[in-house]
Amino acid sequence: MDDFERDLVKQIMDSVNKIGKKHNLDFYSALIDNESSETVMATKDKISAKSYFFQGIGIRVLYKKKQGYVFTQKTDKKSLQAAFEKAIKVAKFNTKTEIWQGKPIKREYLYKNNNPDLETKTKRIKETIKVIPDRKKEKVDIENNFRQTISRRGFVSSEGRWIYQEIPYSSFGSKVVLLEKRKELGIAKVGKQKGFEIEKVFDDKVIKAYKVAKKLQNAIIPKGGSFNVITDGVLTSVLIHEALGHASESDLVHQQDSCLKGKLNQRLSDKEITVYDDPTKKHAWGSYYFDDEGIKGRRVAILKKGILNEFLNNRYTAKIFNTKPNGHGRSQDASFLPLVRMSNTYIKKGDFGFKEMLESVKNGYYLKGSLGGQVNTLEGDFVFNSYYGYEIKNGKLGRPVKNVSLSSNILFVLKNLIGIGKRYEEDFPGTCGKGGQGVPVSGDNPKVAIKNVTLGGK
Amino acid sequence: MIEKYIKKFKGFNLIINHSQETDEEVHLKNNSIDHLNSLDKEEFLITAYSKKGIGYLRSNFINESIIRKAIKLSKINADLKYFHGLPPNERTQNQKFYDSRLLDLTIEDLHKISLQILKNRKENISEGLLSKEVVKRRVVNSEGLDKEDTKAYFSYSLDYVNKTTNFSDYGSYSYYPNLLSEIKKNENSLKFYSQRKIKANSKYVVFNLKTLNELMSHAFLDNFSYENIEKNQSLFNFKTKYRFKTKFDLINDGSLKKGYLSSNFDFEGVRKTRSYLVKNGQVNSFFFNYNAAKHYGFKPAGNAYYSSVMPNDLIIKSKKFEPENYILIEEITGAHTANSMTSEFSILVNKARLVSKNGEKPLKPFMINSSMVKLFNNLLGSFGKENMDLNLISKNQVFSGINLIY
Repeated sequence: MDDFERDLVKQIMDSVNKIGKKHNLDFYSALIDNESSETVMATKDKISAKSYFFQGIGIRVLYKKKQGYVFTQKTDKKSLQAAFEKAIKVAKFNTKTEIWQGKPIKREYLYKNNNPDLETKTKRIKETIKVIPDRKKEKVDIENNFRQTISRRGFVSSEGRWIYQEIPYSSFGSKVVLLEKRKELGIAKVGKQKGFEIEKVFDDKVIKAYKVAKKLQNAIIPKGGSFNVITDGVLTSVLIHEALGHASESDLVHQQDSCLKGKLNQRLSDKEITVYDDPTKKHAWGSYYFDDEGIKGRRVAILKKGILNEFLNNRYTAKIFNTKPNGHGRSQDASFLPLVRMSNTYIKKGDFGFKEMLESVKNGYYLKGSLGGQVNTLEGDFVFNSYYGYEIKNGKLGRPVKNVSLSSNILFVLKNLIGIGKRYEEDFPGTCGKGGQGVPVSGDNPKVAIKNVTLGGK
Repeated sequence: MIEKYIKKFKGFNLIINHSQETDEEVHLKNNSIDHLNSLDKEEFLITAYSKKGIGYLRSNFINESIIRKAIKLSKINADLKYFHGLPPNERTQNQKFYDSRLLDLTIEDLHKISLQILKNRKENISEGLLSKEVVKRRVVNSEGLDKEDTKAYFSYSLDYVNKTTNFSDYGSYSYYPNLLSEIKKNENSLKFYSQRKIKANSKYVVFNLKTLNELMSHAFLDNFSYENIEKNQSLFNFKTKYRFKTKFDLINDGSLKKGYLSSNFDFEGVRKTRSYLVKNGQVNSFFFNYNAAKHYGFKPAGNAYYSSVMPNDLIIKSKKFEPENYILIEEITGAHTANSMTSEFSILVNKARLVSKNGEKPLKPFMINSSMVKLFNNLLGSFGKENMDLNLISKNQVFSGINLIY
């Protein structure tokens, strides 16, 4: 099956090239998407598997410097020819635009799929339900999900780029509901660009979800207001993604929609904080070899020792800002034109131990886990929600807290950092939404301590 | 074409859903047209029932091996707790749940409308999208059900920006909206929020339709899914009729003429009808697929969506209540971080105004930490004209007991 799908994508890549060359275009490219996935879900009394297959071709043309984009799921030569004609037709309506063009490159990245059959996977997920033994005094419900996807993407362009990459995505999520005392839901997940070998951590995740639900049962909702906080690695991932990452996307900078516009090479923090976006991290959820515009993914230091160093860009914004693209043009799938996106975003570790952080914060909150976040990139205001946490009283951890969201401003946070932890923690795989598209992102981050952020509470 | 697979696999319980979608899009950036996009999509959803399981398979092509794989999945699975048969082939007359003129709207027309917007704009448009979508769907099953339907949508999103602030607006309709009046409203909002902002409080809070819809979909509606109730991931259950402290109705209706999520039938071919999720403040019904509705003794209202369930159009009705002073919330961030099981949410309110008899003032951003249950327990009533945002239809609903954290 793998070889068949691989050959199919390559055949389409070649067909597109043959047809594209016949048209008198300033530029053409095609993204060929072939994705198959299986999801296995288990509860105490159910086990179910679902299957999904998607294939499509996105054709982008520049005709007399005007851009058109067409998506089709028909792969025969006649349909591809018609798609090119339609792309040229829609381009004719457009205003003139330019994009960065480079040299020919040919690359192939194959994934050797040695995953077990569906029955074996189903059996393993069924086992994870028994990790938390039934206790007479405690009513527990549980739902575990395993999803495995193989993404095969081909990219060809008129500049002679031919890139084929296969990327595996495996994720496992556990939801544990405690039904007595106060109904609470604990969640834990893992997501890697790996195969079924991630099953080694399934049981640990179930136990973690159970422990989180237990903590939530006794957690209080704190009072809202302005506090010093420590965020764990997971929450730091969301913070840096929302707080700095989005505003550093050069399409937003160009659209006057970023608070970082005009601040390149300026100092944004008194601390020597460095923030990277790195699509080359091995097995990380947001990684890729080449982006969806056929540009090699490169680690970008967005912030270097407190100074705003580089924006993330794609072919379009690279041309506007008169620079080279740094491999951050990504699409959810071939039906979308790529946008400037993050990959794996993280803060370079610092030198603060946890004890030192607690003492520095003295009174405030230590917040863990994330339910996600959102940012207004122009005004720089962001909000993100932690899953649970603890009070910090006189430099020591106190009562557990829940349903706490943090809100602050990008530029304010960078100026109000207390310290950065000295250890990278567990990464946080997620899906980042922008312009109606979701792409996989991640980041393994250290803890950070920040002064005076607004907490939503009672 | 798909009926031949039903014949070929006679003796199996199959549902085949075939959808064909064409989208035309005009993307705007920096006060000009960025690119035009044309999409043709096709998808098949095969649902196969065996004695002990259900097999779901989604693919953008169909052949015998795809059907076999769905049947194989149904045999591996052990998720069929009850089976009351496939939806029967009821004879119903198809209605049009969209404005037919949308079918004739071409990419050239969208381009012209975009140019008109750009020509008439008074503020900067940083990003925008105008699109038309036509979805044709056919459902067949092994019981002889064979239904076809078409639905058309017009959608737009426009992000306005000036030196100090921004304002986003989006809408999706099954008819052509009065775009120019919407645009004028948005430009006025941008100007309004560029003024100096103040801190203020009020006993009464009104979420506009967009923000209320966001909170409903992220923090509340999952509780009405029969699947979540079965998994104990809901505040409600089938036995006890949960009662809110206030009286209001929440209606699930897939049969509204201009309804965004109204159509002739759902993913199983079941006709969409009206059901009361909450009646007089008491939970009354849930989102079911055909089999779950039969099993729990409810009338199926056509909420099957892929392998799950989802709301149709929703209507909120409450008694009349119009305060003199109130805070109107117009933009929130972080609704998607809500805990849908407990209905707890913690959001940042970016755009809100204090409305009083002395006029309106923009407010500084603030946070709200609450739950949907708490909101509806403190629902005082509603005022104004009934409006529609995506699938939510409501007047301005007034809530109390909300703590604003500046």
